[in-house]
Amino acid sequence: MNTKEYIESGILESYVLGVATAGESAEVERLALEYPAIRQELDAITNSLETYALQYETEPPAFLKNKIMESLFNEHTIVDNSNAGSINQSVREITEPREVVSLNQNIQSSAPQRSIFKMAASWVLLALSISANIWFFKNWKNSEEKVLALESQNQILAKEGQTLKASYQEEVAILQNPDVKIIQLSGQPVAPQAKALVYFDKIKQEVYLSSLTLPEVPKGKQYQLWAIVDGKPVDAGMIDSKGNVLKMKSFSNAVAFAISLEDTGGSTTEVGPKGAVYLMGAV
Amino acid sequence: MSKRKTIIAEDALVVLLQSKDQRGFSILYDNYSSALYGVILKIVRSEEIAADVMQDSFVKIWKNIDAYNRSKGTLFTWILNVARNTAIDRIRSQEFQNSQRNQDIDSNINLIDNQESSQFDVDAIGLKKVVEHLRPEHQQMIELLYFKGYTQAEVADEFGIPLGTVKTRVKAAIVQLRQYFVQFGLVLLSAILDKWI
Repeated sequence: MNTKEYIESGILESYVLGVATAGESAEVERLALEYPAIRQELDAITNSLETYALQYETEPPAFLKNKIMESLFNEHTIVDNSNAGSINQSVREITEPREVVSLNQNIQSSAPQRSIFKMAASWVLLALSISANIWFFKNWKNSEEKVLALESQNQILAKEGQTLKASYQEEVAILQNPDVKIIQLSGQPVAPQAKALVYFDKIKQEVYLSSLTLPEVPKGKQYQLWAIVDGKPVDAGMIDSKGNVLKMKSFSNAVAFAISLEDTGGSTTEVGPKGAVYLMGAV
Repeated sequence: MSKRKTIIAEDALVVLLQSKDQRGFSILYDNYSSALYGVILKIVRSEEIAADVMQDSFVKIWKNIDAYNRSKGTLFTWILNVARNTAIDRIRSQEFQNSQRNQDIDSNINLIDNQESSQFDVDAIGLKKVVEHLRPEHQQMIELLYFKGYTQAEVADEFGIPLGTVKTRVKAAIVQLRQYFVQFGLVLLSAILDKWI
């Protein structure tokens, strides 16, 4: 059932105006019970036409109430006379007008009239509630987006935290190993401020690079670690991240380590370092 | 009988009416008679006939109140429809047609428009102009269908407008009314806020 199409069809207006056929009316009433959207639309149409009609509110002549009440309740008495069982009740109703008065006094009296003001007020409430709904919906949307952003940020942070923790644990394990020798590489004339540490485990033949402080790598360039073995530089691996501890190539008999700036991809052992040497330190 | 408005829950009022309790009808009259009478008078355009139609309407409400069902809408909607239909039946009845409805519809509408300015007493807040806020062709649709009891097909026939156009105009008229009342409500609200803040 496409409620939007049904609402657009104009049948609800016909129903409220009283010009729908009996079949259509029955259908509208049935669908209004089933679909809240149709009920709502129906009420809004009814409300606007009634508000429109209420602008013609006119006080009826004073005599009319008595005349109408008399016609209703005299007929009522006549009808009831043929029905002996309820005579007493209807007589009671008619002969006890004081009860009517006292009821009216008990029920709080003021002006609850379904006036045009009340109708206008209900339109205000409708408008306010619609705008409040839109506002809350937007807020809710915003919050949801923020929550999602925070969640993904949180995940990234947690991952980073784990990586850091793992790398620190690794570094601590290396440092606590008595076989490991710490070699300080010191800055050469091209970069006097540069620094780095090499952790060298001769037994396990493992080389780690840590605490790098080097000038920013220019585009197309890359730092390369060299181990000096038998008086010759041997490629010890490219430095491709600023990670906490970098595992480099294995050596057992290096006497010194050096870092040079090479073209991306580095140089080979056969050729040796082609670029400037930034750092150097002896074992 | 004094005429004071009484605050009563609609459900309670319906129970009183359905048990044909005099208090129920007294409250119904006090609370709604000016709304009903206004619409009836607008339709029949004679105080004498309006009083008569008003009485007929109350008799119909009395007789048919058991058929009223909350799920179909509010009590006010229901009694307003009873009154409106009774009034429309009256102007459409033969005798009335002979005496009153030989004028053409356009002059009828003009007559009604002139009449309403004296009936309507909410001038202070400017709602009097509701009619003026509607486009003439929309106003005409509501007048013909709501206050004259024309069907859409009859309007199409009498004015030589395609039925589809009539339906579109009716829909547009009601949309316009709704928009106007929302705007009016907001104006009223800001006027109230202005006074308080």
